[in-house]
Amino acid sequence: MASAYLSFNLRMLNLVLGMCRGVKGLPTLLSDLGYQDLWVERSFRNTSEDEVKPELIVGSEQQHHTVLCEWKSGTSVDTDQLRRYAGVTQEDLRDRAFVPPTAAEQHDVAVFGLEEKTSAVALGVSEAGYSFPVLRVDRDGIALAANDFKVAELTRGFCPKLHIDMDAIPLAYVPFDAESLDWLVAQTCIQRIVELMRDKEPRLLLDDFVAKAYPLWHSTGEDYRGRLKAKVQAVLTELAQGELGHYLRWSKPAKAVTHVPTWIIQNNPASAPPKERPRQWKALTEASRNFVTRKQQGRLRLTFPE
Amino acid sequence: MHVRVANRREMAQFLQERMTRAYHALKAEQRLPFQTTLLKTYLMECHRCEKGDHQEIHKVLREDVAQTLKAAGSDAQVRETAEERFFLLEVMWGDREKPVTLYLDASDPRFWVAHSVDESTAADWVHDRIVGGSCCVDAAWLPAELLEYAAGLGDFRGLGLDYDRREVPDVDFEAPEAPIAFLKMQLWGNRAADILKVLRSEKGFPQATTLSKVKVRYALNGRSDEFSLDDLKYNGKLAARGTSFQTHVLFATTIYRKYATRVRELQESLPLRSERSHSRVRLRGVPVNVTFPNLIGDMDKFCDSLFASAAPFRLWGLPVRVSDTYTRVAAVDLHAGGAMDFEIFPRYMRVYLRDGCCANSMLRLYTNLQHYYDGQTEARLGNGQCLSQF
Repeated sequence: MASAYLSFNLRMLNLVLGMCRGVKGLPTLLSDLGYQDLWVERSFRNTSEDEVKPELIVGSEQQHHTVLCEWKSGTSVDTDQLRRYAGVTQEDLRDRAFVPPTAAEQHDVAVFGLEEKTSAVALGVSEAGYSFPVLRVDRDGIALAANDFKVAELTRGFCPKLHIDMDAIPLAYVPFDAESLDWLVAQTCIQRIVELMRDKEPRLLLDDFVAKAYPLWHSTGEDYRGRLKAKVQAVLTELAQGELGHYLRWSKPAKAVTHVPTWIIQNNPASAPPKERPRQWKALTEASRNFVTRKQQGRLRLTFPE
Repeated sequence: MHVRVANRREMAQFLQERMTRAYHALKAEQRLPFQTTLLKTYLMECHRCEKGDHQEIHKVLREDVAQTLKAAGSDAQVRETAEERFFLLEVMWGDREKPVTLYLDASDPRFWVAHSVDESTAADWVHDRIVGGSCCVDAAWLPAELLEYAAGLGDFRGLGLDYDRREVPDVDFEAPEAPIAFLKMQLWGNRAADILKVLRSEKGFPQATTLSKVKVRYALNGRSDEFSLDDLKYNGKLAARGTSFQTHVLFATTIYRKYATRVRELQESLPLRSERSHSRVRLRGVPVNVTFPNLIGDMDKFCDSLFASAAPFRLWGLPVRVSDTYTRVAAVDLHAGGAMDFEIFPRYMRVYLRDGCCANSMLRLYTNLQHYYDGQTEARLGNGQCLSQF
């Protein structure tokens, strides 16, 4: 199942982004009602100067409505966080979150819970005295578990359930995160390596590489950036010491110059004679496929620190 | 014929004379006399020169185009003229004593128009080497919808069909219910539109009826004495005869402006990118939903063909099965550069262009799917708009 490979955060982010953008294979509820994704994972302060940090803000000028999305993969709720969300006003959305004024006229905070854990989340929201819509996400779709949206059509859309083929969740918007499986990260890494090869770049610099591979880099805090870099570095190390060793070589001297982990790109198929190129690209594909297959099957390869 | 012209006006005079000579000779003798050739015009797209000035275009021609031709075994000279963004590309080819000349007008620094009156074999060879080997110049890929639009600009006098499913052999062509593997047809005459309608009907061969060429008689302001008779191909090549070079250029540029406008719209809307604003991040970009009328027969073979790192698709890709019905491919356009993501299901696929990827890559993919996979392939943006809304 596609969604099983993804963290709850990554799954929901890609799903809701896809639903707003008319990705084929997903329900058109959000795009039909005019919802567009506005901001991803960034905080703003409400009038009381309390910080709120929704995972995603979607808004519809057509419905005069904005939804602040919060994903909860566990059972607990942070009551202080709920209090801060409750303090968000129309003016905060308009002036501090830069939501279009028409869409900011009314809003909801939607809490998305994971399968059976949603009941505990709904209870937590209710006991804290808030009436935020709580939605249950499971294998078949998303259902409203408690409370209504201010837009009746949105409420109706999730009642009794919005059926979604969770096997069709897009992966393109945010293809990986720091918790992702290695083969998922590797797919994006190898794609980026081929881009560098095509442009005949002689080397790969980790920091620049991760910043270009991870779409939310600019909204990501330093701690998380460090985790992402560590993740990508581990995958690149394993690729260079294993299946892609013919093409990628760690370079300590280069690091001394660039001051960031650096790999040399070698045996570049793009530099081969034109008639040779398709065969050489194919060899690279095979090597990459071997890595992904090995990782998917959980087979280990010993790597050495560089 | 090797003629040095200094500016666009001289080029127009020269090509006008050559074009009308060929037309009258053809009309009188029903064949072209020795050393008389039709005017060829090639629509090409340079990805690196969106806002390029004369010097930048000259640099691309010298360092990329000429080098590409040299690598293919031909000596190529780029000559500047008296006018900005107007060049002569002279290429020694085969045993010829005189070079093949392309008169290259880069008035629009991204969308180039090149003319030649050298024989087709030679001029096509130069064009094919440039768009096949250069890393920043590609052909203009004209989907069937744009060819039909072009046919509607004048009198629709003929058509060519070109479909070859063998490039993407995801089915057993020997099976009793196998689809058509190959269909090529040339048809000249005033009933071209009717024939196309019949072939595309349910009782015809809609899947294999892919327009590759249209012949159009185009007249300026309805004047019968000033016209061009153009054969327009899906790879952006025009072969023209008639009485007016100006009319031919107007026909070519009308089509090219449509194409350029659409490419620029798609360039603005398609690529996935994150934009920073007020220290927040907003993701931009829309998917292209490509729908096939029939199920993909064999997903592995389909992917192997599409991502073979060779013409016609020129895509490198790493297909990974995410589920029984879902294959994700992280791909790179080896020709124009830039990353593309594919999410492929048996009846449709979603295509995402990453930041830095050219919209031309999407039109090349779509046009080639029409020619090498299914003529009824449909591509729509996430908002429902047709990709090829010209």
